[in-house]
Amino acid sequence: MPRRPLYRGFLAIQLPIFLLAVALGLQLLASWRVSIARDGYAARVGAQTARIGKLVADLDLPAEQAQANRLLSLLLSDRGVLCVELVAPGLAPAAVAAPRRVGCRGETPDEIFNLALPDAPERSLRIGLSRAEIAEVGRQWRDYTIGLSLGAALLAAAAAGFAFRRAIGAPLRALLETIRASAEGGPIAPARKFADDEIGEVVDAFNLMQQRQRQDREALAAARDALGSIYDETPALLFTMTFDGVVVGAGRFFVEAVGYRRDEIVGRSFAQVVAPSARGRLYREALARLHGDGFARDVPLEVQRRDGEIIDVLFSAEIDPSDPARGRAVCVMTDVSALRAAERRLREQAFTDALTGLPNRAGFDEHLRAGLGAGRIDSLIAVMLVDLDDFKQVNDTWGHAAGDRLLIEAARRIRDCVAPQDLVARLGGDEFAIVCRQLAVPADAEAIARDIVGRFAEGIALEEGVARIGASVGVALGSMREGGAGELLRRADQAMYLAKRDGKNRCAVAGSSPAGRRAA
Amino acid sequence: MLAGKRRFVRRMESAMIAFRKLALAFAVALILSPLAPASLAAKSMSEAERSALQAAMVQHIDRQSIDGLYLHIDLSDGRVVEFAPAKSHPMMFRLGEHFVLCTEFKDSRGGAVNVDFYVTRAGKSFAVFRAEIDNRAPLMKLMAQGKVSAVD
Repeated sequence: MPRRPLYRGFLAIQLPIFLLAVALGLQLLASWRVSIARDGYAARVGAQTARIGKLVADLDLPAEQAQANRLLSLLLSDRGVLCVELVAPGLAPAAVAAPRRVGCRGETPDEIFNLALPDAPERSLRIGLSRAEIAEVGRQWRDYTIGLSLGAALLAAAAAGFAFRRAIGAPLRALLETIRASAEGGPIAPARKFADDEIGEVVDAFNLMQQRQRQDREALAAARDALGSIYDETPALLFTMTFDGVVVGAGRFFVEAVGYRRDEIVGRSFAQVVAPSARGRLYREALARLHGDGFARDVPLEVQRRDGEIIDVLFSAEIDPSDPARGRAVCVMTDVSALRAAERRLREQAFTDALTGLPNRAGFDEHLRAGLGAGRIDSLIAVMLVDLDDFKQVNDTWGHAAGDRLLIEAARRIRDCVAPQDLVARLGGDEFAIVCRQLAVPADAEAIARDIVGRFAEGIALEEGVARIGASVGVALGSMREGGAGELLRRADQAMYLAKRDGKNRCAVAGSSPAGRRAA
Repeated sequence: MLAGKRRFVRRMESAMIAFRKLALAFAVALILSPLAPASLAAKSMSEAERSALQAAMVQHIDRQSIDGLYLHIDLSDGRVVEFAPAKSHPMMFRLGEHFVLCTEFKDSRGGAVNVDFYVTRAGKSFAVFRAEIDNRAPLMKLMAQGKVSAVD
């Protein structure tokens, strides 16, 4: 119900004007009726008094006083005459009067009418008039005027209300209901047209607008379907999300890539599919950039599929231009898992000795940088360099294949001598390097070196025969504080040189000073 | 531009409200006006004067009548016609300071004849100074000229 219904405004104007017109008409009619009553009254009273007066004028008074009284009393039969007295010289007041002997004494006539009698100029009639009947006509017509005005006004209001409801109210309500239904997202339906009037023209215009809106909606739906199809068919991991990271739309390839159902993704946080280790990056780099710059480019993330598999992706996002609120982003992930795997393989190949499976020199250096850097700076580290004695003879005698097999076995034996967390690498040819960490005391390193030397004292059985080789081990002890791994490696190399010089098949521990060096 | 339109709409609404109030007040005044017919009558001729006018006409007719018949001579041919007064028309007209009263006579064949009496004040009473028998045209002409109007 509107706050100020239209028909009230209509009646507020129409009703007073109608009331005014009716009241004016009735007022004129009442005036006319009162005027007629007054004329009739005057004609009646005037004629009667004139005729009675003539009769009274002809009487011989006071002899015929009784006759005069009877004549005057005839006038009282008229409502308009309240009292009458004959005024004549020598005649006592009210001697000839009606009512008898009273005349107009005690009466309060509205008017006094003195009628001269032409046939007896010394006589006159004094007549008290009553206007009661005229006032009654006035009252009667006042009541008619009020009653008829109000009745007519009510009738007019009812008729106007009915006409308004039929001609304006009903069409407007129907139109309003259609507009509301349309505004609330309901089906776009044409409004009912009641008549070919002005409102009918409005309805026609509205229906035309509705028709165009329906066409626009259909076109929009078709475009959306086409877009959705593209969204689903584009072989890219497409999805849309809010700036808070809530997924609002997901393409088919994205859904397949993460292994969830679409309804398990849409409406939930994108972070749920990001590996826990990468969530910090998601918030710090991807979402923060999206908030700040309106886009994010190639942020490396790891996505955890529903089955637990991790896939490497590059995440990019841009504000959705079709979102008027600009609180949504179109996102795409590029699956770089294969690339990352290839990178890892290449890295592994670059850092691994293909023959023994041990890290090569580059791998050794990398491990030193990464591994030693991770340890405490003052923890005890032993770096050992192992050089196989007389390996060249095996190569020369039995060939390189035998040499390779020997190197494989040598690597295995060295590996067996150290703890799993220790690093063993083949630096090249028959030279191996070992880094032992978490040593309790320096003697532990020397024990390991002796163990290695001992293991190579045993012959190595090859297809061609038992190879008798030895191992010269140079050991350097220290910590990261003392020059780092490079310095330790240099000192181990010097110690190994000493072991070679002192007769091979032994170990030598490099001291912190030349005096401290000793061979075992 | 928008503010101007709003001001205009506000002014129009104020004007409409004022108009409604005015119309209502006028309507109420008009409706209530018949409550005081005395005030209306006070401006017009009193009932006593009206009755006196009518009485003057009747008295004139009675005095001019012979055996109840009103004699009239047609000076064009010298014929004297007898009329019997029948009834007075209650409506009275004003001609300047004078008045016109109408009545109806019957001729010998029973036909109705209009008789108009021209009346003037004579002291506290009234007196007929001219009678037009079966000659209403002059009165109609005077009415058409606006010189004769109904007595309020």
